[in-house]
Amino acid sequence: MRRINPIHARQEQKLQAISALMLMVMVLLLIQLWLLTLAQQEYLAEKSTLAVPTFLASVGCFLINLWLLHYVNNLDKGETKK
Amino acid sequence: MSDKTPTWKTDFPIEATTDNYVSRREFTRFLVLVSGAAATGSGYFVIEKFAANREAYPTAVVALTSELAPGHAKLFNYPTENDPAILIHLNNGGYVAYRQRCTHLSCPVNYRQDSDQLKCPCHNGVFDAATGAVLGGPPRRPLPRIMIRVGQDRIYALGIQGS
Ligand code: FES
Repeated sequence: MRRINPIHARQEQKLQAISALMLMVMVLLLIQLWLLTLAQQEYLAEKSTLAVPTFLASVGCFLINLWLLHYVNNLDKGETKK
Repeated sequence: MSDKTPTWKTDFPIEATTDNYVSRREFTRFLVLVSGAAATGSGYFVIEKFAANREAYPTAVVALTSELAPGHAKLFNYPTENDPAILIHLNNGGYVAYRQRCTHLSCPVNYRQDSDQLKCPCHNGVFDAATGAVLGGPPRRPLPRIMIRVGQDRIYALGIQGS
């Protein structure tokens, strides 16, 4: 019988947390890449109605990512602000 | 003997969990960096939009009404000498003008009088001469249209639609 080592349990927890954060960042990044292709398609078609909305949405995704990064950095401090 | 912890484990006491944790953490940080780059990249199109708004297109005489019979086309350059364009006197009597560069891979398109279509010789892209819409072939986007005004004896180019 293996005993559960509290350090291992903590490592497992951190791994799960980072995996979840990584997934969220990935999804937001995919949305950003999609927005980028939208803006590029418009640009190549010599139109520019979507340029500003896609930019704002992309910056929004980036800000959320920065906010998630803050949690990533906090994982190592052993505490996450609520 | 077999129960003994292998020496390498004592020498390199790194857990797989910790290893995965660190690589995922670094990868997540990298993704956030790429996310910043994507947001900056989107900003480029905003800058281009305002730059294009500032740049006023010149009004230029591109042809005399007398020199183009219905079903004929004339090549010209607009808005600069390096931008090939095509003016078409349609079979139905109307005038239209487009950038001559195919929206697939930039080959010059040619007007076909029999079908009132613009054809690209490179990969057989076909555009409707009246609207510039794609009728067939690999192009995905319509031909950019040049706005024109037909005067009494001259035809003027005024700008590019959508810009
Ligand atoms: S360049 Fe015109 S169809 Fe490919």
